[in-house]
Amino acid sequence: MNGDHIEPWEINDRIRARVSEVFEQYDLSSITTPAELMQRVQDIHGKPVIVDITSDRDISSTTALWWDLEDEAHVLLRDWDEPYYQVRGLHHEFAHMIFNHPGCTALPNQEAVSRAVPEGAVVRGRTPLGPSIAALLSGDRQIEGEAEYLSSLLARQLLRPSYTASDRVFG
Amino acid sequence: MNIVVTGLAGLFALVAIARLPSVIRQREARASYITTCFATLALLLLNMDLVHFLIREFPWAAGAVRVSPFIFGVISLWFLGEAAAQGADPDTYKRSSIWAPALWCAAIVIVFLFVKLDPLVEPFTVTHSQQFAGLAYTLIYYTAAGWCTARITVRASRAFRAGSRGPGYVLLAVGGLLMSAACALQYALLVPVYLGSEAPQELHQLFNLLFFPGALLVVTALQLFPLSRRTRPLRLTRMAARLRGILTTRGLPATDGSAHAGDDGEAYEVYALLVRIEDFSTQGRLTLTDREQKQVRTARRWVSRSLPTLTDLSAYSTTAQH
Repeated sequence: MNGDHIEPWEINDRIRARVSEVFEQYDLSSITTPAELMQRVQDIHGKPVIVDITSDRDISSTTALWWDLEDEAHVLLRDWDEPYYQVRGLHHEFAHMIFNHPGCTALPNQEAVSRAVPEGAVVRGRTPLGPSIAALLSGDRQIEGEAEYLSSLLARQLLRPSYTASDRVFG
Repeated sequence: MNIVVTGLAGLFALVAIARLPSVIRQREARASYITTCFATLALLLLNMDLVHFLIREFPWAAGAVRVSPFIFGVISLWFLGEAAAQGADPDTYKRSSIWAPALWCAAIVIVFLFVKLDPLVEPFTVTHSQQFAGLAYTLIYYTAAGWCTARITVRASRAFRAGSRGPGYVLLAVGGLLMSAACALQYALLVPVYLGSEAPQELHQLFNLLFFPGALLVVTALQLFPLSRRTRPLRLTRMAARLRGILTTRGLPATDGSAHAGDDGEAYEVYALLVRIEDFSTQGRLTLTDREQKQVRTARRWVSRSLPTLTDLSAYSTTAQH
């Protein structure tokens, strides 16, 4: 279909090494449940994290959005997404918080995003769009790569299939 | 009936043989393994040809031969209840006191000692229920077995509700229920015998129609669990290959595989590929054919059912609707 795919995030060996370092630094390998992950992210970020769900279909290109206020952080997810996709978006935004990434200057300029986010908030989103947005976000590709790769490690860390106990007991 | 009980014993024995390597490897597998071993022995000792042979060869052991299937039955069913509880909630599971089955078994044996035994008469329990001790030990057994099988049903249902939605738990729950009902029926069958009347023949047939199909469902469940464990990697590898094919046939990059090694790597790959497909669909760069939509739906269903930590948003925090 195409050969001109441009990823909105860059994942290379240097980024993998940096993510592994952060993973170790915050002892993320000790986490076993979603609740523990949420707590660890709040501890690292230093404020409560609130998950919001939107039905605003205009947020079509950004699959998850983080905005940061002085005393709380919010993650906005879309209600029409499959649950596993929402969780991936959530992990991506958690990763931004763990890295303490700066906000993205391009995102608040999008109308749907500016409607959802209070003025002046620091904003960063998971925007898996193609060449046009990738060019717009070109300065952020490494930051997004760190978040995307860390989110994959977080998902891997939390992977606890429901059949594991049955396998051990009856398998 | 000899064929039925021997066939069931054979099925339990097959499970015991097939699971020997895993029980050596995993401590958690012991409870259900004890079930398979004792169920095999209990069912074999319901084969009247074998029982009569043993009594003729070893007449001094006639009482032990006759009471053993009851003891083995209680042990087998009690351990299955423990295994179901472990499967339902492995993190908070604590083994129940071994005293409960020990006391049930002691009560059966002690009361059995007072039975005036006619070891070769059939049907054994019905005939001996004309004596009070005969009625008492049989009803103690069926009360214990009914309690154990009800426990299996409750705990297997809990495991199913907790997200372990394998068909094995459904079979365990239904099998336990049928066996519980059969155990309760024994009161209606044997009390009239003691009181001097005879229960209708249909009730005896109903007992057989409840108890042995229940046992069949239980042993089928015990076969399904290891079968499912052994075939899962292949099923997931195929599922992942189909999802990867959706991307690669369009020249779109699939996952890089860097975070997929280790335990449950196939499960993670299915999840990661679904995310990838969703990303490209969001971009409008991927329109699925009917066949591919079906493949993606199948994978989504599997992920939703099997990976709760990656699909249940409520496990993370309170969410607000905008």
